[in-house]
Amino acid sequence: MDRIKVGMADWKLARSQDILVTFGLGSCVGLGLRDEKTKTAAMAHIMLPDSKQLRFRQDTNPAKFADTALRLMLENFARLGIAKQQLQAKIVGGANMFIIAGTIAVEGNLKVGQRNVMAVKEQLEQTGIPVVGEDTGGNAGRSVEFFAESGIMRVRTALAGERDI
Amino acid sequence: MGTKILIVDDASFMRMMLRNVLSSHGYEVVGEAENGRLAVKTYQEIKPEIVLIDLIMPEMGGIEAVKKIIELDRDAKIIICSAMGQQALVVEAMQAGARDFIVKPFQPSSVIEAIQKVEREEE
Amino acid sequence: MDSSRLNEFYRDAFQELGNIGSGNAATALSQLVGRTINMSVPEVMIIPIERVPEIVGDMEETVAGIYLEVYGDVPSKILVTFPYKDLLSLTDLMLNQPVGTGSTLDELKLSALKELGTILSGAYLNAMSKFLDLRMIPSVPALAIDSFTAVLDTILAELSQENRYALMLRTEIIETETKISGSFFLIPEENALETMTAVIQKTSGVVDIG
Repeated sequence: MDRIKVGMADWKLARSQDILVTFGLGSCVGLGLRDEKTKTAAMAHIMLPDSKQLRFRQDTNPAKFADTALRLMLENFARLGIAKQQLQAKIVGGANMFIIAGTIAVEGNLKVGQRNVMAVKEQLEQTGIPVVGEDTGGNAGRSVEFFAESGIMRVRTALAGERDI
Repeated sequence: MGTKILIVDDASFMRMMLRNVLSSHGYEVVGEAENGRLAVKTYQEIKPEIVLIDLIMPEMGGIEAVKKIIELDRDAKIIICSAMGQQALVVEAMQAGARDFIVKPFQPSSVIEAIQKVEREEE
Repeated sequence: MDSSRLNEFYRDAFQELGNIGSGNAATALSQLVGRTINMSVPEVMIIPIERVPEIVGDMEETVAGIYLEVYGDVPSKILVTFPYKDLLSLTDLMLNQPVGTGSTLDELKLSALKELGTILSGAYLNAMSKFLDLRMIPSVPALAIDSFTAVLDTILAELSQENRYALMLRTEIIETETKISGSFFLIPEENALETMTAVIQKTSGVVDIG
Protein backbone atom coordinates (compact mmCIF):
# COMPACT_ATOMS: atom_id res chain seq x y z
CA MET A 1 0.00 0.00 0.00
CA ASP A 2 1.44 3.31 -1.12
CA ARG A 3 0.37 6.88 -0.48
CA ILE A 4 0.94 8.54 -3.81
CA LYS A 5 1.21 12.31 -3.69
CA VAL A 6 -0.34 14.36 -6.46
CA GLY A 7 1.25 17.83 -6.63
CA MET A 8 -0.22 21.00 -8.07
CA ALA A 9 -0.84 20.69 -11.84
CA ASP A 10 0.13 17.04 -11.52
CA TRP A 11 -1.63 13.69 -11.96
CA LYS A 12 -0.94 10.13 -10.79
CA LEU A 13 -2.23 6.61 -11.32
CA ALA A 14 -2.83 4.06 -8.56
CA ARG A 15 -3.96 0.46 -8.14
CA SER A 16 -5.71 -1.66 -5.53
CA GLN A 17 -4.32 -0.80 -2.10
CA ASP A 18 -2.80 2.55 -3.10
CA ILE A 19 -4.12 5.91 -1.91
CA LEU A 20 -3.85 9.02 -4.04
CA VAL A 21 -3.34 12.14 -1.95
CA THR A 22 -3.50 15.83 -2.78
CA PHE A 23 -3.27 18.73 -0.35
CA GLY A 24 -4.74 22.16 -0.25
CA LEU A 25 -7.19 22.37 -3.12
CA GLY A 26 -8.33 25.98 -3.00
CA SER A 27 -9.74 27.10 -6.32
CA CYS A 28 -8.02 24.13 -7.95
CA VAL A 29 -10.04 20.98 -8.67
CA GLY A 30 -9.18 17.40 -7.81
CA LEU A 31 -10.53 15.06 -10.50
CA GLY A 32 -10.63 11.38 -9.60
CA LEU A 33 -11.33 8.67 -12.18
CA ARG A 34 -11.73 5.02 -11.31
CA ASP A 35 -12.44 1.67 -12.92
CA GLU A 36 -14.38 -0.57 -10.54
CA LYS A 37 -13.40 -3.81 -12.29
CA THR A 38 -9.62 -3.43 -12.06
CA LYS A 39 -9.61 -1.11 -9.01
CA THR A 40 -7.48 1.30 -10.97
CA ALA A 41 -7.73 4.99 -10.08
CA ALA A 42 -6.18 8.25 -11.19
CA MET A 43 -6.31 11.75 -9.77
CA ALA A 44 -5.34 15.14 -11.20
CA HIS A 45 -4.86 18.48 -9.39
CA ILE A 46 -6.20 20.88 -12.03
CA MET A 47 -5.40 24.61 -11.84
CA LEU A 48 -7.20 26.19 -14.77
CA PRO A 49 -10.28 25.53 -16.92
CA ASP A 50 -8.91 25.76 -20.43
CA SER A 51 -5.50 25.32 -22.06
CA LYS A 52 -6.66 27.34 -25.06
CA GLN A 53 -7.44 30.53 -23.14
CA LEU A 54 -3.92 31.52 -22.18
CA ARG A 55 -1.91 34.57 -23.10
CA PHE A 56 1.23 32.46 -23.40
CA ARG A 57 0.99 29.47 -25.68
CA GLN A 58 4.01 27.43 -24.72
CA ASP A 59 2.62 25.75 -21.62
CA THR A 60 3.64 22.13 -21.82
CA ASN A 61 2.03 20.75 -18.71
CA PRO A 62 -1.26 19.08 -19.71
CA ALA A 63 -2.18 18.18 -16.11
CA LYS A 64 -2.63 21.89 -15.36
CA PHE A 65 -5.84 22.33 -17.39
CA ALA A 66 -9.24 20.66 -17.25
CA ASP A 67 -9.38 19.81 -20.96
CA THR A 68 -5.87 18.45 -21.40
CA ALA A 69 -5.72 16.70 -18.02
CA LEU A 70 -8.75 14.54 -18.77
CA ARG A 71 -7.42 13.64 -22.23
CA LEU A 72 -4.07 12.66 -20.73
CA MET A 73 -5.67 10.50 -18.05
CA LEU A 74 -7.91 8.74 -20.58
CA GLU A 75 -4.92 7.98 -22.82
CA ASN A 76 -3.16 6.35 -19.90
CA PHE A 77 -6.21 4.32 -18.91
CA ALA A 78 -6.51 3.18 -22.54
CA ARG A 79 -2.91 2.00 -22.48
CA LEU A 80 -3.84 -0.23 -19.56
CA GLY A 81 -6.75 -1.57 -21.58
CA ILE A 82 -9.35 0.41 -19.65
CA ALA A 83 -11.92 2.07 -21.88
CA LYS A 84 -13.51 5.37 -20.88
CA GLN A 85 -16.89 3.61 -20.72
CA GLN A 86 -15.62 1.75 -17.64
CA LEU A 87 -14.77 4.91 -15.70
CA GLN A 88 -16.58 6.86 -13.04
CA ALA A 89 -15.57 10.32 -11.81
CA LYS A 90 -15.49 12.21 -8.50
CA ILE A 91 -14.79 15.93 -8.28
CA VAL A 92 -13.54 17.94 -5.32
CA GLY A 93 -12.46 21.56 -4.82
CA GLY A 94 -13.10 24.75 -6.77
CA ALA A 95 -13.72 26.84 -3.67
CA ASN A 96 -14.07 30.60 -3.62
CA MET A 97 -11.72 31.09 -0.68
CA PHE A 98 -11.62 34.78 -0.01
CA ILE A 99 -14.26 36.68 1.93
CA ILE A 100 -14.51 40.17 0.56
CA ALA A 101 -16.46 42.95 2.19
CA GLY A 102 -19.08 44.67 0.09
CA THR A 103 -20.35 43.49 -3.24
CA ILE A 104 -17.36 44.04 -5.48
CA ALA A 105 -14.59 41.48 -5.21
CA VAL A 106 -10.92 42.12 -5.81
CA GLU A 107 -10.85 42.90 -9.52
CA GLY A 108 -9.18 39.63 -10.52
CA ASN A 109 -12.30 38.33 -8.75
CA LEU A 110 -10.96 34.90 -7.85
CA LYS A 111 -13.73 33.08 -9.63
CA VAL A 112 -11.30 30.54 -11.06
CA GLY A 113 -12.71 27.94 -8.67
CA GLN A 114 -16.19 28.06 -10.11
CA ARG A 115 -14.87 28.07 -13.67
CA ASN A 116 -12.66 25.08 -12.94
CA VAL A 117 -15.58 23.01 -11.66
CA MET A 118 -17.72 23.93 -14.66
CA ALA A 119 -14.93 23.10 -17.10
CA VAL A 120 -14.21 19.70 -15.54
CA LYS A 121 -17.91 18.77 -15.60
CA GLU A 122 -18.24 19.88 -19.18
CA GLN A 123 -15.27 17.76 -20.22
CA LEU A 124 -16.68 14.74 -18.39
CA GLU A 125 -20.08 15.19 -19.96
CA GLN A 126 -18.60 15.39 -23.45
CA THR A 127 -16.67 12.21 -22.78
CA GLY A 128 -19.69 10.47 -21.29
CA ILE A 129 -18.10 9.72 -17.92
CA PRO A 130 -20.63 9.87 -15.05
CA VAL A 131 -19.92 11.96 -11.95
CA VAL A 132 -20.69 9.71 -8.98
CA GLY A 133 -19.43 11.97 -6.21
CA GLU A 134 -18.85 15.66 -5.75
CA ASP A 135 -17.79 18.13 -3.07
CA THR A 136 -17.20 21.46 -4.79
CA GLY A 137 -17.61 25.20 -4.34
CA GLY A 138 -18.08 26.89 -0.98
CA ASN A 139 -15.38 28.87 0.81
CA ALA A 140 -13.19 26.16 2.30
CA GLY A 141 -9.99 24.60 1.00
CA ARG A 142 -9.87 20.79 0.82
CA SER A 143 -7.34 17.98 1.09
CA VAL A 144 -8.19 14.67 -0.50
CA GLU A 145 -7.38 10.98 -0.12
CA PHE A 146 -8.67 8.80 -2.96
CA PHE A 147 -8.71 5.07 -2.19
CA ALA A 148 -8.23 3.00 -5.34
CA GLU A 149 -9.64 -0.17 -3.75
CA SER A 150 -12.95 1.26 -2.51
CA GLY A 151 -13.28 4.35 -4.66
CA ILE A 152 -13.91 6.40 -1.53
CA MET A 153 -12.71 9.98 -1.59
CA ARG A 154 -12.00 11.32 1.89
CA VAL A 155 -12.25 15.12 1.89
CA ARG A 156 -10.76 17.13 4.75
CA THR A 157 -11.18 20.85 5.48
CA ALA A 158 -9.17 23.00 7.89
CA LEU A 159 -12.06 24.05 10.11
CA ALA A 160 -14.99 21.75 9.30
CA GLY A 161 -13.64 18.22 9.66
CA GLU A 162 -13.80 15.45 7.07
CA ARG A 163 -16.36 13.57 5.01
CA ASP A 164 -16.35 10.72 2.52
CA ILE A 165 -17.86 10.99 -0.93
CA MET B 1 -21.81 69.54 21.66
CA GLY B 2 -18.57 68.75 19.86
CA THR B 3 -18.00 69.06 16.16
CA LYS B 4 -20.15 66.58 14.20
CA ILE B 5 -18.05 64.05 12.31
CA LEU B 6 -18.84 61.36 9.71
CA ILE B 7 -16.41 58.41 9.54
CA VAL B 8 -16.06 56.54 6.25
CA ASP B 9 -13.97 53.36 6.13
CA ASP B 10 -14.70 49.84 4.90
CA ALA B 11 -12.92 48.33 7.92
CA SER B 12 -15.10 48.27 11.03
CA PHE B 13 -11.86 48.03 13.01
CA MET B 14 -10.68 51.36 11.62
CA ARG B 15 -14.05 52.99 12.25
CA MET B 16 -13.85 51.85 15.85
CA MET B 17 -10.30 53.21 16.28
CA LEU B 18 -11.34 56.58 14.88
CA ARG B 19 -14.55 56.65 16.91
CA ASN B 20 -12.59 56.01 20.10
CA VAL B 21 -10.03 58.72 19.35
CA LEU B 22 -12.70 61.25 18.42
CA SER B 23 -15.12 60.66 21.25
CA SER B 24 -12.32 60.74 23.83
CA HIS B 25 -11.45 64.21 22.53
CA GLY B 26 -15.00 65.55 22.75
CA TYR B 27 -16.01 65.16 19.12
CA GLU B 28 -19.37 63.77 18.17
CA VAL B 29 -19.40 60.91 15.66
CA VAL B 30 -22.78 61.44 13.99
CA GLY B 31 -22.49 58.73 11.38
CA GLU B 32 -20.43 55.94 9.87
CA ALA B 33 -20.34 54.63 6.33
CA GLU B 34 -18.48 51.67 4.87
CA ASN B 35 -18.08 52.82 1.28
CA GLY B 36 -18.15 55.94 -0.86
CA ARG B 37 -21.69 55.48 -2.05
CA LEU B 38 -23.05 55.30 1.49
CA ALA B 39 -20.80 58.22 2.46
CA VAL B 40 -22.46 60.49 -0.11
CA LYS B 41 -25.92 59.35 0.95
CA THR B 42 -25.16 59.80 4.66
CA TYR B 43 -23.57 63.19 4.04
CA GLN B 44 -26.80 64.44 2.45
CA GLU B 45 -28.88 63.06 5.28
CA ILE B 46 -26.95 64.23 8.31
CA LYS B 47 -24.82 67.15 7.08
CA PRO B 48 -21.78 66.50 9.27
CA GLU B 49 -19.29 69.30 9.89
CA ILE B 50 -16.28 67.15 9.04
CA VAL B 51 -15.83 63.92 7.05
CA LEU B 52 -12.97 61.48 7.66
CA ILE B 53 -12.72 59.20 4.65
CA ASP B 54 -10.61 56.23 3.52
CA LEU B 55 -9.58 56.03 -0.15
CA ILE B 56 -9.63 52.39 -1.12
CA MET B 57 -13.06 50.94 -0.45
CA PRO B 58 -15.39 48.56 -2.28
CA GLU B 59 -18.35 49.84 -4.33
CA MET B 60 -17.20 53.45 -4.45
CA GLY B 61 -13.73 54.61 -3.45
CA GLY B 62 -12.83 57.77 -1.55
CA ILE B 63 -11.87 59.94 -4.51
CA GLU B 64 -15.18 59.58 -6.28
CA ALA B 65 -16.99 60.15 -2.98
CA VAL B 66 -14.97 63.34 -2.33
CA LYS B 67 -15.91 64.62 -5.80
CA LYS B 68 -19.60 63.82 -5.25
CA ILE B 69 -19.70 65.39 -1.79
CA ILE B 70 -17.98 68.56 -3.03
CA GLU B 71 -20.54 68.71 -5.85
CA LEU B 72 -23.28 68.67 -3.22
CA ASP B 73 -21.55 71.08 -0.87
CA ARG B 74 -18.65 73.20 -2.06
CA ASP B 75 -17.65 73.96 1.54
CA ALA B 76 -17.57 70.35 2.72
CA LYS B 77 -14.65 69.70 5.03
CA ILE B 78 -13.14 66.37 4.13
CA ILE B 79 -10.03 64.75 5.58
CA ILE B 80 -8.48 61.73 3.87
CA CYS B 81 -7.49 58.87 6.14
CA SER B 82 -5.62 56.24 4.17
CA ALA B 83 -2.80 53.74 4.48
CA MET B 84 0.70 54.70 3.52
CA GLY B 85 1.60 54.15 -0.12
CA GLN B 86 -1.36 55.90 -1.66
CA GLN B 87 0.20 59.32 -2.29
CA ALA B 88 -0.94 59.49 -5.88
CA LEU B 89 -4.51 58.94 -4.71
CA VAL B 90 -4.12 61.37 -1.81
CA VAL B 91 -2.97 64.06 -4.25
CA GLU B 92 -5.94 63.35 -6.48
CA ALA B 93 -8.33 63.54 -3.53
CA MET B 94 -6.81 66.85 -2.39
CA GLN B 95 -7.24 68.24 -5.91
CA ALA B 96 -10.85 67.10 -5.78
CA GLY B 97 -11.35 69.26 -2.72
CA ALA B 98 -10.24 67.34 0.38
CA ARG B 99 -8.69 69.67 3.00
CA ASP B 100 -6.06 67.49 4.66
CA PHE B 101 -4.92 63.90 5.10
CA ILE B 102 -3.91 61.44 7.81
CA VAL B 103 -1.74 58.38 7.17
CA LYS B 104 -2.58 55.01 8.77
CA PRO B 105 -1.29 53.73 11.12
CA PHE B 106 -1.81 57.03 12.92
CA GLN B 107 -1.13 58.43 16.35
CA PRO B 108 -4.35 59.77 17.93
CA SER B 109 -2.67 63.19 18.08
CA SER B 110 -2.30 63.37 14.30
CA VAL B 111 -6.03 62.77 13.85
CA ILE B 112 -6.88 65.54 16.30
CA GLU B 113 -4.33 67.93 14.78
CA ALA B 114 -5.76 67.45 11.30
CA ILE B 115 -9.28 68.10 12.56
CA GLN B 116 -8.23 71.17 14.51
CA LYS B 117 -6.43 72.52 11.48
CA VAL B 118 -9.51 72.12 9.29
CA GLU B 119 -11.69 73.65 12.03
CA ARG B 120 -9.38 76.70 12.19
CA GLU B 121 -9.62 77.21 8.43
CA GLU B 122 -13.30 77.81 8.95
CA GLU B 123 -12.75 80.90 11.11
CA MET C 1 10.63 35.00 -18.50
CA ASP C 2 12.96 32.18 -17.75
CA SER C 3 14.42 31.49 -14.32
CA SER C 4 17.94 31.60 -15.74
CA ARG C 5 17.39 35.22 -16.71
CA LEU C 6 17.18 36.24 -13.08
CA ASN C 7 20.90 36.26 -12.45
CA GLU C 8 22.66 37.12 -9.21
CA PHE C 9 22.56 40.82 -9.96
CA TYR C 10 18.77 40.97 -10.18
CA ARG C 11 18.31 38.55 -7.35
CA ASP C 12 20.31 40.97 -5.16
CA ALA C 13 18.41 43.95 -6.52
CA PHE C 14 15.04 42.35 -5.73
CA GLN C 15 16.26 41.38 -2.31
CA GLU C 16 17.24 44.99 -1.69
CA LEU C 17 13.84 46.17 -2.92
CA GLY C 18 12.23 43.71 -0.55
CA ASN C 19 14.42 45.04 2.26
CA ILE C 20 13.34 48.59 1.59
CA GLY C 21 9.69 47.56 1.55
CA SER C 22 9.77 45.34 4.60
CA GLY C 23 11.74 47.87 6.67
CA ASN C 24 8.95 50.36 6.20
CA ALA C 25 6.29 47.69 6.76
CA ALA C 26 7.93 46.69 10.05
CA THR C 27 7.80 50.30 11.24
CA ALA C 28 4.12 50.61 10.34
CA LEU C 29 3.25 47.33 12.04
CA SER C 30 5.18 48.31 15.17
CA GLN C 31 3.10 51.48 15.40
CA LEU C 32 -0.09 49.52 14.89
CA VAL C 33 0.50 46.88 17.57
CA GLY C 34 2.73 48.87 19.91
CA ARG C 35 5.44 46.22 19.91
CA THR C 36 8.84 45.77 18.32
CA ILE C 37 8.55 44.04 14.95
CA ASN C 38 11.44 42.47 13.08
CA MET C 39 11.30 41.50 9.47
CA SER C 40 13.77 39.03 7.97
CA VAL C 41 15.89 39.61 4.89
CA PRO C 42 13.63 38.73 1.98
CA GLU C 43 14.04 35.44 0.23
CA VAL C 44 13.83 35.83 -3.57
CA MET C 45 12.48 32.88 -5.53
CA ILE C 46 11.68 32.50 -9.18
CA ILE C 47 10.17 29.12 -9.95
CA PRO C 48 7.56 27.54 -12.20
CA ILE C 49 4.21 28.17 -10.52
CA GLU C 50 3.34 24.50 -10.02
CA ARG C 51 6.61 23.94 -8.12
CA VAL C 52 5.90 26.70 -5.59
CA PRO C 53 4.09 24.50 -3.02
CA GLU C 54 7.11 22.16 -2.89
CA ILE C 55 9.51 25.03 -2.31
CA VAL C 56 7.41 27.11 0.07
CA GLY C 57 6.43 24.00 2.00
CA ASP C 58 3.29 21.91 1.86
CA MET C 59 2.04 23.43 5.04
CA GLU C 60 -1.21 22.03 6.33
CA GLU C 61 -1.15 24.63 9.08
CA THR C 62 -4.30 26.74 9.38
CA VAL C 63 -3.63 30.42 8.78
CA ALA C 64 -5.32 33.72 8.16
CA GLY C 65 -4.38 34.74 4.63
CA ILE C 66 -4.87 38.37 3.67
CA TYR C 67 -4.77 38.90 -0.07
CA LEU C 68 -4.43 42.13 -2.05
CA GLU C 69 -3.89 42.90 -5.69
CA VAL C 70 -1.52 45.67 -6.68
CA TYR C 71 -2.40 47.86 -9.66
CA GLY C 72 -0.35 50.47 -11.49
CA ASP C 73 3.07 50.05 -13.07
CA VAL C 74 3.94 46.90 -11.13
CA PRO C 75 0.90 44.60 -11.18
CA SER C 76 1.44 42.13 -8.37
CA LYS C 77 -0.25 40.05 -5.74
CA ILE C 78 0.36 40.32 -2.02
CA LEU C 79 -0.29 37.59 0.51
CA VAL C 80 0.16 38.10 4.24
CA THR C 81 -0.28 35.05 6.46
CA PHE C 82 -0.43 34.56 10.23
CA PRO C 83 -0.88 31.20 11.98
CA TYR C 84 -4.39 30.61 13.32
CA LYS C 85 -3.00 30.09 16.83
CA ASP C 86 -1.57 33.64 16.84
CA LEU C 87 -4.66 35.45 15.56
CA LEU C 88 -6.22 36.18 18.93
CA SER C 89 -2.96 37.54 20.39
CA LEU C 90 -2.45 39.61 17.28
CA THR C 91 -5.94 41.12 17.35
CA ASP C 92 -5.65 41.70 21.12
CA LEU C 93 -2.56 43.82 20.40
CA MET C 94 -4.33 45.72 17.62
CA LEU C 95 -7.37 46.39 19.79
CA ASN C 96 -5.14 47.53 22.62
CA GLN C 97 -6.28 44.74 24.94
CA PRO C 98 -4.02 42.61 27.15
CA VAL C 99 -2.83 39.56 25.18
CA GLY C 100 -4.94 36.52 26.03
CA THR C 101 -8.19 38.35 26.70
CA GLY C 102 -9.80 37.79 23.31
CA SER C 103 -11.68 34.50 22.98
CA THR C 104 -13.42 34.48 19.59
CA LEU C 105 -12.61 35.86 16.16
CA ASP C 106 -15.57 38.17 15.75
CA GLU C 107 -16.32 40.49 12.85
CA LEU C 108 -14.31 43.33 14.41
CA LYS C 109 -11.22 41.14 14.67
CA LEU C 110 -11.56 39.89 11.10
CA SER C 111 -11.81 43.52 10.04
CA ALA C 112 -8.66 44.29 12.07
CA LEU C 113 -6.81 41.50 10.27
CA LYS C 114 -7.79 42.87 6.88
CA GLU C 115 -6.72 46.34 7.93
CA LEU C 116 -3.41 44.89 9.07
CA GLY C 117 -2.94 43.61 5.52
CA THR C 118 -3.77 47.03 4.10
CA ILE C 119 -1.36 48.84 6.39
CA LEU C 120 1.52 46.39 5.93
CA SER C 121 1.10 46.38 2.15
CA GLY C 122 0.71 50.13 2.00
CA ALA C 123 3.94 50.69 3.89
CA TYR C 124 5.80 48.06 1.87
CA LEU C 125 4.60 49.41 -1.48
CA ASN C 126 5.17 53.00 -0.44
CA ALA C 127 8.87 52.48 0.14
CA MET C 128 9.26 50.35 -2.95
CA SER C 129 7.38 52.66 -5.30
CA LYS C 130 9.35 55.69 -4.07
CA PHE C 131 12.59 53.86 -4.73
CA LEU C 132 11.56 52.69 -8.20
CA ASP C 133 9.56 55.82 -9.01
CA LEU C 134 6.72 53.56 -10.17
CA ARG C 135 3.05 53.58 -9.24
CA MET C 136 1.83 50.72 -7.03
CA ILE C 137 -1.75 50.89 -5.77
CA PRO C 138 -3.25 48.20 -3.52
CA SER C 139 -6.82 46.89 -3.79
CA VAL C 140 -9.17 46.33 -0.88
CA PRO C 141 -8.01 43.30 1.11
CA ALA C 142 -9.67 39.89 1.04
CA LEU C 143 -9.41 37.38 3.87
CA ALA C 144 -9.41 33.59 4.08
CA ILE C 145 -8.94 31.45 7.17
CA ASP C 146 -7.88 28.05 5.92
CA SER C 147 -4.90 25.76 5.38
CA PHE C 148 -1.84 27.60 4.10
CA THR C 149 -1.63 25.28 1.10
CA ALA C 150 -5.22 25.96 0.03
CA VAL C 151 -4.74 29.72 0.36
CA LEU C 152 -1.58 29.55 -1.72
CA ASP C 153 -3.26 27.17 -4.22
CA THR C 154 -5.93 29.78 -4.96
CA ILE C 155 -3.44 32.60 -5.48
CA LEU C 156 -1.19 30.47 -7.67
CA ALA C 157 -4.17 29.42 -9.82
CA GLU C 158 -5.04 33.09 -10.24
CA LEU C 159 -1.43 33.91 -11.12
CA SER C 160 -1.11 31.02 -13.56
CA GLN C 161 -3.76 32.50 -15.85
CA GLU C 162 -1.16 34.90 -17.22
CA ASN C 163 2.15 33.63 -15.90
CA ARG C 164 4.22 30.47 -15.98
CA TYR C 165 6.79 31.51 -13.42
CA ALA C 166 6.28 33.00 -9.99
CA LEU C 167 8.71 35.58 -8.68
CA MET C 168 8.19 35.67 -4.96
CA LEU C 169 9.71 37.97 -2.36
CA ARG C 170 9.08 36.35 0.97
CA THR C 171 9.73 38.10 4.28
CA GLU C 172 9.17 36.70 7.74
CA ILE C 173 7.45 38.96 10.27
CA ILE C 174 8.51 38.41 13.88
CA GLU C 175 7.09 39.99 17.01
CA THR C 176 9.58 39.12 19.74
CA GLU C 177 7.61 39.54 22.95
CA THR C 178 4.51 37.39 22.36
CA LYS C 179 6.31 35.41 19.62
CA ILE C 180 3.79 36.09 16.91
CA SER C 181 5.18 35.33 13.48
CA GLY C 182 3.83 35.75 9.99
CA SER C 183 4.87 35.82 6.36
CA PHE C 184 4.65 38.54 3.74
CA PHE C 185 4.75 37.58 0.06
CA LEU C 186 5.03 40.00 -2.84
CA ILE C 187 4.38 38.26 -6.14
CA PRO C 188 4.87 40.52 -9.18
CA GLU C 189 3.40 39.44 -12.51
CA GLU C 190 5.88 38.66 -15.27
CA ASN C 191 5.31 41.99 -17.05
CA ALA C 192 5.90 43.79 -13.75
CA LEU C 193 9.17 41.93 -13.46
CA GLU C 194 10.22 43.37 -16.81
CA THR C 195 9.24 46.90 -15.75
CA MET C 196 11.22 46.57 -12.53
CA THR C 197 14.32 45.10 -14.17
CA ALA C 198 14.27 47.96 -16.69
CA VAL C 199 14.25 50.53 -13.87
CA ILE C 200 16.98 48.70 -11.98
CA GLN C 201 19.08 48.57 -15.16
CA LYS C 202 18.64 52.27 -15.75
CA THR C 203 19.46 53.32 -12.20
CA SER C 204 22.41 50.97 -11.88
CA GLY C 205 23.80 51.66 -15.35
CA VAL C 206 23.87 47.99 -16.25
CA VAL C 207 23.62 47.46 -19.98
CA ASP C 208 23.80 43.74 -20.43
CA ILE C 209 21.04 41.93 -18.61
CA GLY C 210 22.89 38.62 -19.13
